[in-house]
Amino acid sequence: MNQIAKLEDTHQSSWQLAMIQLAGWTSLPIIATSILVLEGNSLWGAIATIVVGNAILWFLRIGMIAMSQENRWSTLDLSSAYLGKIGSYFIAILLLISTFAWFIQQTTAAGTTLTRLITIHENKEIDQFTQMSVFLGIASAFLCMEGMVLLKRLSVIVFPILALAFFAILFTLPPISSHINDNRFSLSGLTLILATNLGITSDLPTFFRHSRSLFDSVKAITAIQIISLGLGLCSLYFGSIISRGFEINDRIVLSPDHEMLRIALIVFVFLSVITANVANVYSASVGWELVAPTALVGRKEYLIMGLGLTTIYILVANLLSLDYLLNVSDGALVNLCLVLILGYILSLRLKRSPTSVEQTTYFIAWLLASIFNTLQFAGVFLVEVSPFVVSLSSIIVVIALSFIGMRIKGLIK
Amino acid sequence: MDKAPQNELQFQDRNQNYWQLASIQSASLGLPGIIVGGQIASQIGIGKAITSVIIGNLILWMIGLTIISMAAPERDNAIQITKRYLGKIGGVVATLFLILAFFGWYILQLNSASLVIHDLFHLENSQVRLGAGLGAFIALLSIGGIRLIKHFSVIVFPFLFLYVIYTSIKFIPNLHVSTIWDFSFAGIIGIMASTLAGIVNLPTFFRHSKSNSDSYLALSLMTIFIIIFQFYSIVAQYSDYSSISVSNNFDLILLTSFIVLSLMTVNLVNIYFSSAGWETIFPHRKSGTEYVIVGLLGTMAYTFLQISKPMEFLETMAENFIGSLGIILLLSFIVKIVVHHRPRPFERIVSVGCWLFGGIVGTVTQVETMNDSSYSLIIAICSASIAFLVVIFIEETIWSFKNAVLAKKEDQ
Repeated sequence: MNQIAKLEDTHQSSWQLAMIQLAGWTSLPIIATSILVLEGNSLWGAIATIVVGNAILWFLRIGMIAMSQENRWSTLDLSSAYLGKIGSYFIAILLLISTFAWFIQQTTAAGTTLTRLITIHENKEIDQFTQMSVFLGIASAFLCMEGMVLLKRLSVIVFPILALAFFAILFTLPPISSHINDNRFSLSGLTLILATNLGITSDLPTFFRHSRSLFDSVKAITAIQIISLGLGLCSLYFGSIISRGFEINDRIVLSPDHEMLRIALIVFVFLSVITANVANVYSASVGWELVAPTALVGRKEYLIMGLGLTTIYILVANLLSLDYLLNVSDGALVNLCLVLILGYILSLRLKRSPTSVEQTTYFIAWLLASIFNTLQFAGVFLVEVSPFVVSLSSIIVVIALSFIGMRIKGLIK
Repeated sequence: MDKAPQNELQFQDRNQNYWQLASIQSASLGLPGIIVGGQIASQIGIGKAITSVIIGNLILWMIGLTIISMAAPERDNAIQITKRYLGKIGGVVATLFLILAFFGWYILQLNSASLVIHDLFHLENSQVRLGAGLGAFIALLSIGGIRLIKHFSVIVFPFLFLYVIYTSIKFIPNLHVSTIWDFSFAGIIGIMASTLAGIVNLPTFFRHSKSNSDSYLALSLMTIFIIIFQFYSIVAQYSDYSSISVSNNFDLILLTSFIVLSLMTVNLVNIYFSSAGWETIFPHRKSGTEYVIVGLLGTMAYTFLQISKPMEFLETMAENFIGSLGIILLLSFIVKIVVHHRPRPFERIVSVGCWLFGGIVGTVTQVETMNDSSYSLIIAICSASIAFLVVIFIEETIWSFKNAVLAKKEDQ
């Protein structure tokens, strides 16, 4: 499990670590979560929710990093330590499914947006969406080839451009009044923010195992959280160009008066989707290493995964919806994050690594919560309750019952 | 070829037997290479098409035999052999045309296969998606390099061959041969034009051969199989891609498998063919990743260019140059065997000059005939050959005149 010997590039600075996360996960749909928060909240309520949400995320992420720093464990190594061997196979498959769903959904959304934003005068019979999809897919596959080495360089170059494009979008947005509404002040969007970001949080160890030191990791997490907070607050003003389903509002963006906005959006969407895809493939590579045949593991694995995903993406883009798969896999990743953090807290309290009984408990807690979420997303079970609340409750109940049982049997003091 | 050459061999797998070599080349004919028989039959009649297929492929066999013999001692690839006979400049120019031709072939194969599958399944506006998806998948497979091509072809070829036999047997009762058995120059050239560029590139694959005898037997087997594949399109009366159809779902599955597997093999081979060019540009980087990059570039080219007019023009131009290169290599080899009685200080310059002359004349003809690929290829080959023969005639005459007349006068 200890991979220090074979892990490349273990001297990343806080700046590099932060750039990878920010460039890798800063995409339009994630930024636009703020708009959803605002929909059920007052402006001040939304701001307070985003601030509190980011503070909680910072705390949880520090916990995740602390768990993995000493042995430079990836998400999968952590899963193996807390959920046991069988659990780690489940998580490996989950990481692959999640990457598959994200890659296809995110690239499809970007392909659709860019096809609308970029006007190419060619034969009407030529499917421009397919051309754009192939271009995005192949560009992603090219950049996946060298794994972390290229991802690091790409992120350091891309993030400043993304930030510039983001502020260009912000300053060229048409004036709006819709963000000021009559909703009451509340923190009701907190679960939404946590649910959107905890899936990413469970992936952090895979990236932060490359950190130079724990101090660098903490600095990076703090920087990520502060910048994310700024982006989240600014995104409250994106309401005028983002319609429901996180699609670009053509009427505004394509008008000749907003040429600068159009260009900034093109740059932002293109760069964000490419970097997100490369980061996604890297995060799933740890899962691939566990389940793929030995011949397909090694330096070529990133290329195989990137190009495999690209091929599937080209063939299925816009043909089938992966919303359900995306929701289920994201929910399962959130559950993983919750289980790992609770497991870590309990390990600290018990001052030892989890025993096999505890590993089984954590695995059952994760599995049960994920099954509940799957049924919820399918609309057959507790549809009215937030999946995050259901997950958290079920995980706490399972772990609590198991620990009470163990205490009764005298397995723990 | 049995003994190791002096230079260190930097490529893998030097023990391919005749069956493996023949399987790779025969399975990689591709839809355009197969259907050419049917296309010619629809223009000149079945009888003439059959004789054209046989004679055209026998001539190609002869060219292939010569080129393989030239490349065998040093296990050269197509570019190395060009460098050896035409010098460094010749090698660089050949590299550029080989890479250009690769894009043309990759696009042509993806386009033809996706078009037929698209029509067979009555899909709507999905041809580019299908072609690009298959192109990306082939690029992914190419990571396995020559070893994967070998194993893949050995597995796939028997299916392709059996399918051709099965379908031919089904179609033969419907065939009404009421034609004159005769020869057609245009038909022979048409057949040659379809695979001549591939023949010129054979050394890139045959450098992996176990021995000379394996190479020659593979070449003969490959010629026989290609003749059978082209007969199939004559028997099935496939005059163009739209004439390819099936009557039931079982045949639909078989035909789709045939097209997809054939496409995969031919484009894997195309990627590897072009590697001879890439090896010249990046001599120290030989890995599966390079093949993937080449495949992805081919897929991108297909997606954005498809069979656009400029691309079609460039492809025909590249084939003119590669075709005339093949003839010049052949003639250079023959002259090298025959002419031992005098020095040839301008050997490489003459060869490059004649080759480029042929290619340029072919390209001019191509412009004048509105991209008639077969005709411009004939002109390119003939021009290169005539130029070469004229130069050799002048060289030989001057040398013999100097020795026979002037030297005699000096003696007197």
